[in-house]
Amino acid sequence: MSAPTVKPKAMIQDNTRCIGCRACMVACKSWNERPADHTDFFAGAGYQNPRDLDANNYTLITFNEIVTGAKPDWVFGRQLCMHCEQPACASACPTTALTKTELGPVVFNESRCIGCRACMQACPFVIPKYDYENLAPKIHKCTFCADRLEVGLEPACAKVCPTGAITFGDRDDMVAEAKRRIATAPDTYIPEIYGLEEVGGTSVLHLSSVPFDQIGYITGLPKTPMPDLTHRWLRVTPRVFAFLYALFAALLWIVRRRTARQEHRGEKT
Amino acid sequence: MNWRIRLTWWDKLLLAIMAVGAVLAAVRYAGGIAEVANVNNAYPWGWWVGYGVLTTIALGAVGFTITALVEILGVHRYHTFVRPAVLMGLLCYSSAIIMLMVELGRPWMVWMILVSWAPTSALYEVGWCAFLYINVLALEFVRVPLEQLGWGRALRILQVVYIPIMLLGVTLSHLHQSSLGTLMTLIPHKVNVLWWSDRLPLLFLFSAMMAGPAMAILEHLAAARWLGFAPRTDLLAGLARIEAWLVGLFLAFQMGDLFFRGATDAMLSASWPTASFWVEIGLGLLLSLALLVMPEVRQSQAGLATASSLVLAGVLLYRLNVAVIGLRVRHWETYTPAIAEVGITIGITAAAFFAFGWLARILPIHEELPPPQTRPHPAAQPAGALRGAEGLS
Amino acid sequence: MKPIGNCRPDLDIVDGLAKAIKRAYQKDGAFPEPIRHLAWDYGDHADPHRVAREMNGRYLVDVSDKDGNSFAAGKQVSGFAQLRDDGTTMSGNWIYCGGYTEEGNLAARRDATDAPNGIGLHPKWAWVWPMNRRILYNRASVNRKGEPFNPRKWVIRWNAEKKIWEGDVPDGAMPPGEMNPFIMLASGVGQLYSPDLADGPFPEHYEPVESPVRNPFSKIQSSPCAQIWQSTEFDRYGKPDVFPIVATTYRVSEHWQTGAMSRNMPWLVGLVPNAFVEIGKALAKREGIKNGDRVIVSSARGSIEVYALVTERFQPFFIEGRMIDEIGIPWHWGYAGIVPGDIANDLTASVGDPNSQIPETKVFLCNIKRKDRA
Repeated sequence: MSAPTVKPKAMIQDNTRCIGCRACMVACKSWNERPADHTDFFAGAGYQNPRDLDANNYTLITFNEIVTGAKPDWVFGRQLCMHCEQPACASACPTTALTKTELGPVVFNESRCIGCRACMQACPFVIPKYDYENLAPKIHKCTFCADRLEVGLEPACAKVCPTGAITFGDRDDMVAEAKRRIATAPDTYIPEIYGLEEVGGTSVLHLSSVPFDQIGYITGLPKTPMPDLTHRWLRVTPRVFAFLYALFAALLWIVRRRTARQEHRGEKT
Repeated sequence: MNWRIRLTWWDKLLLAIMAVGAVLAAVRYAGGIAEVANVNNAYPWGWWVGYGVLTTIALGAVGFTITALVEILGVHRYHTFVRPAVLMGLLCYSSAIIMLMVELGRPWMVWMILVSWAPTSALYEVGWCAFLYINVLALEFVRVPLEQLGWGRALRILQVVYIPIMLLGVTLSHLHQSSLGTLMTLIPHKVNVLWWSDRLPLLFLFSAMMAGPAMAILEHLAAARWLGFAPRTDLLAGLARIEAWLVGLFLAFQMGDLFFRGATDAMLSASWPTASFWVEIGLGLLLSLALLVMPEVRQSQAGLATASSLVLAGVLLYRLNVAVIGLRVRHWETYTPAIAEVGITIGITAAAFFAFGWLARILPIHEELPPPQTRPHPAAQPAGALRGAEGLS
Repeated sequence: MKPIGNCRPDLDIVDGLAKAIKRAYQKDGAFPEPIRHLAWDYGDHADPHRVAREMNGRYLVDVSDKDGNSFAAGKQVSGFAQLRDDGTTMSGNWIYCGGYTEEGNLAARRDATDAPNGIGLHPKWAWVWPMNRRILYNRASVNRKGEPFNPRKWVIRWNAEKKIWEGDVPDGAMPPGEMNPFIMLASGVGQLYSPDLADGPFPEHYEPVESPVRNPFSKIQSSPCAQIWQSTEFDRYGKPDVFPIVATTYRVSEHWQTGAMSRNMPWLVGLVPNAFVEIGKALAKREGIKNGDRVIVSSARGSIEVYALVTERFQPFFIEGRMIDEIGIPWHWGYAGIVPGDIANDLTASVGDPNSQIPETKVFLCNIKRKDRA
């Protein structure tokens, strides 16, 4: 009997259902054993804390006050690793410390990390965060609760979300569901699924009632997977190496023969 | 071999700068990167990579360009520049590696690159190529102290492998100089449109080649003044002509690439990156080219020094523009280098200068000088005869 | 999975406390008998099932009822109607009687089958008090013949052949026409006027005791039945000329009630640390207050110092031709915890609801000044 094929997973982040309760942030810190933040006040519109993802916060709810006409609207967005189908971070890492798994998560193996931060430079969503004050620093990002997925559980954030803003399942089902929601409630959603096609597609599909750049998302990203850009140069490396070596050897040989002939003729005359 | 030299004021100044750099580096290791550097989550690479890796390795291209010119293309009249070029290459790459030891978060793990298989990573290729190439440079250079020591057997072995090793070095250089550019192709939405290109690897390769003759010219002029010999102005003029071609071709390539990509509007925008672009093009390419095409400049030491410095400044600014000044991450964080951050790199560069000056005084680097005084090894032949063993000259 | 740190379930904490207190009172204590003799037997490691069973109740001796059924000592009681006042049964709480019977833990049922009425009753999903009756006073949904007023959405109905009620557990088991639905009232019918209430019978609009506007609906400004205490120095009431701003109080998701528990939770405190007040942009501009400034909010009863959060979500009212500002004060802070903070209740008015005495903390008058201008 053949083993069942592993179906990759994905999450829907439906910001129209998000109430900004931040149970997801606390569940994430609990599962990943991150220390608490020491804050005095808020770091964004409304109650946002902290200002940004960091080494201690792998997901973040952004608070945004959108004023259209007379009525202000409190709209929430969520930041977290998108677990791209073709992750730029994994392709940039020189020690394969970041890998895309079959189930979907892009996982980080700390024991291979040299701290070069190429992944941080590469990530189009600016996700991996560094603990620069640490003497043995490493990157920090959402793990998609890969360890939970492996035993058939859902990510901690999806489990605790009280409104169903976070839905988890097979990626095909999640894509279909996201499209269905937009189709059946066009007055609720803008007709865009953030993460569906950006940089070749990701495992986190965001839905929203307002344009994504108004709630803290990086927009305008290309559809090509980022690794394609370096891949077309790097994959010819062996051939280029062989070609250049042969070329330079040939040049060397030709030039020396010509010099030797000239010297020989010079001696004769 | 006599290791000792008399320290000049320049040596002492360099040692002082190195000491400051060492103290700052100690702070970095004892307190963490955050203690000395302003790199942050949006800008994880800053001055340390822009200068310490991208520029230092570009300047180290003097090694392969001069070697290729003399040994492959057979333009033997420039052979006097080969040894200084190889030494400069060796010191530049060593500096880059030391910079990397400061820049990496976990430098003690750097060997992990050598036991990984990451063919999709440009940094992986740079790491491997640079690792192999610095070994090549070391093998190319080790003949010089061996010659001084009079170790004939070792020299003969090296002579056998010289050509394949030299070819390997030139080939590897092409690969990793272009891969430094490949590093930045991964982030088209972060690199300013003035610089991001599908052809970044080629632009980086040619920019590195452009640095070669300029480095050789400046070194020769400096060595002539400090070590007390007459500079070979005829050869320098020749190198300057070659340099003019390289600068002109690079300028055409860069401009052509800009036009081809339709990014010319950005040349007129009112922003700091655009201003930096014009400084890079204006001083580093246009002005230096204008100088280099004039025979009077090529014959004058001051002219040569100015033009070569401009070219190198342009190479530095080009790398910084691509990777630091022209980098814009859509994030609330900003980045400017910290003084300590820059201080460490200046210390390392000072160490390279110091090492070069020291080695130039105890080893037969410059053919224009008599070989340094030495206690000859009983079994050794006189130093002069061994010169013929270093390939064609 | 083990909880992190020293976290334990509430039951474990209470069980530990009770056992320790009982141990201490074994030796001595003032009036120790009720504590020494307190039945506390939930196991070495407190078992919530034993607690739940005790809540339901059991027979303490062998018992038989008038229909000839007998129940052995130790058996669970099946409903509060079987509880007796002669010491032969016990129950922790009569409303839970019937939830953990000899059939087991009915609250743990997960049968999603709907009731025959198909209105989403799901009678076998968990258990509710009293007696798993899902909709109280459900006899009000049928006429005197037991026929539902709305046959498409019926709750209970009388099956004349089988002579039983179908659907939900009827609130009062007698056949149709023999009793009225509102079983807690003597007449069994709904009432507009109740002799037990201090006010009514019809709803009326009254302004709160501290209000910046005249009551537009009535000559009487505030409820004449409201309880207004005048016994301490804090029982003072402010006027709009000194306190022109309307204050309201509310909660945030991250803290609970007065914050006594949640302000000891580092993750929650990291999200919402210090006491703050939310004010609108126009008010902030007039007072020179920027987001994050320290401000003094004062009322007739005192003042507090908190952070100011400037937001679009508070817009002023335009009433009686003037602009009236409102500010919001979350009430989760106190003197202890990881981050103590000034208490919103220092400002609220001592006004009680006519019937429940619930204080009028949701609306009072205040003033606000930036700290250096206060």
